[in-house]
Amino acid sequence: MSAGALAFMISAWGIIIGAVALTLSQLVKHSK
Amino acid sequence: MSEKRENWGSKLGLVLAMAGNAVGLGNFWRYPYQAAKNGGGAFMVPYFAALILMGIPLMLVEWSLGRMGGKYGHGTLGPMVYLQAREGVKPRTAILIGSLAGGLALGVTLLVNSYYNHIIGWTMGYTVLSLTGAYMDPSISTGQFFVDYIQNPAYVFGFWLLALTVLLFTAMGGIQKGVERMAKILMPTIYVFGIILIIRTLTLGTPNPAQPDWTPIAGLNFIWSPRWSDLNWAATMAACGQIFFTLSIGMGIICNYASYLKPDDDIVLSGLTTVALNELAEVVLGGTIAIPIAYAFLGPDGVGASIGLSFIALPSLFREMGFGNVVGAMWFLLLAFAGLTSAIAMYNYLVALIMENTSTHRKNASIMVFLGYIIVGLPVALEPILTKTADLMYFTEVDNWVGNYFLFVLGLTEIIVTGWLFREKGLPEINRGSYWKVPTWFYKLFIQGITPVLMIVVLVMYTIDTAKQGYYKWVPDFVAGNDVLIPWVQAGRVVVFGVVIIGCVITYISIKRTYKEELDKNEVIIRL
Repeated sequence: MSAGALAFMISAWGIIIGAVALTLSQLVKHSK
Repeated sequence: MSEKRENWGSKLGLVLAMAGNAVGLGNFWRYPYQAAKNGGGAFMVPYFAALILMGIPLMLVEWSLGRMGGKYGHGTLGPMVYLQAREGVKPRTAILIGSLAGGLALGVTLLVNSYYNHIIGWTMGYTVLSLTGAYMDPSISTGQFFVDYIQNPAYVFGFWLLALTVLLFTAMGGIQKGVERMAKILMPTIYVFGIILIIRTLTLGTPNPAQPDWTPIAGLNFIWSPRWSDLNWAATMAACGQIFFTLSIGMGIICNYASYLKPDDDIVLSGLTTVALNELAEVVLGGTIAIPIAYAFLGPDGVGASIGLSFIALPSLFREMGFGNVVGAMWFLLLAFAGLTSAIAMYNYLVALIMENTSTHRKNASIMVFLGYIIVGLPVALEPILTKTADLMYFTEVDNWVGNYFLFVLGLTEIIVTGWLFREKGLPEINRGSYWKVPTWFYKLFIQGITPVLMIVVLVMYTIDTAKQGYYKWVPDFVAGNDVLIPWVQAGRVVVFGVVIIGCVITYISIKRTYKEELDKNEVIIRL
């Protein structure tokens, strides 16, 4: 896999998984 | 209203239902081939730009329209749009805008499901056929097998009715015991199935010894390598269309689900969580299953198909891989679950429409919608059976309008109403009860500025582009010369515009009845 493709994929995955973790954790926190 | 409005049972249930609404067939079969076809990694630039510039602002607008409409007893889009629009124009003008929105929303929710339910039926059928190994015989091509399937009345009608029956009983259960319960079961299953399929995909190795370069990782490389030369206006349009399709915006169904919120329930964090979960299912899961499998077996030429990728290319690969029938069943069941969680949102919109305008109980309204979907779904099933073709022209034509064009028109209507007519009142409406507050600059810059302007540009360019392709002729270029299928395309257009016109009239009557006094005086009486 080329460096450019890997960089794109990891960046996109990182942003999305980070967004899921952040929003879900905040949702759980505020649901209590 | 015949009954007290229902509410969501829990925040988790709401977010899963909203995410289920968004996570659909498009995440797993439409997104991968769009990305592969339109520049790979380069596609992600307009894709994420469209997500930020159009997707998220419109998502916030739809949640807020819906929650506000629910407060006034509305579960459908027309009256919701009317309520906000009359803050900027006279009620008699606002009712026309509301009627247009209601008509388009009826067209989308009734007619998208007219073919979407069939695709769910196909995925259910293929789940069973995967387990029984029906398409594993290499003497019949999977392309021919698919054609035989859609021309087989027993398969087509049997599994279509099964899909509709699941939707019927879910809708009859109501918001908490039907929709929310379904989402709580199916959504985690979708993510678990997706992860299992990714693991199986990435451990395929080199399935074609004659082509040692064809591996799942090479498939990932293909989908993520930025091919900037492929990034053009068409790719940008495809990215915008994908964002609308995947987030289920411009359909009225997010507004419908949001109408079951309490007036001070959070919408900003919940809406953003829904977007994040949808992107997880699409970019991370959807992008790592179909294309890498297809690439590993077929190479770069095998990844360009759309429906063909799921129902023709992948089954031919399931034949060759270890545990292919189990992997195949899991793939089609994943699609079926993703389809059901989206189809139920459209189903529930129509149930709400009936309940809002008549004294019908939810159970009876659900049965009426079931019968309605049978009527509008019949042409989709009958075209391949009666014409002995596999072009699915009626389906394609209906989808061109209600699954594509109308989403933009309806989304644009909503954001113009909130941003330009409801104006500054829209911001506190979005932020009321929300844990995260939308900043004023974001509201002014996006919802009142960039988003509607960008959508107008996209809509105009799309219209010009399709007009150049001879799309708006009575006999459009894409079907010209095919005398068997021309009537099916024209019938699709008649049905689409007939339903929208009926929807506009129904919405007009509904708003007129509810807000008679202020429409008679042409002055706002009920202050929001």
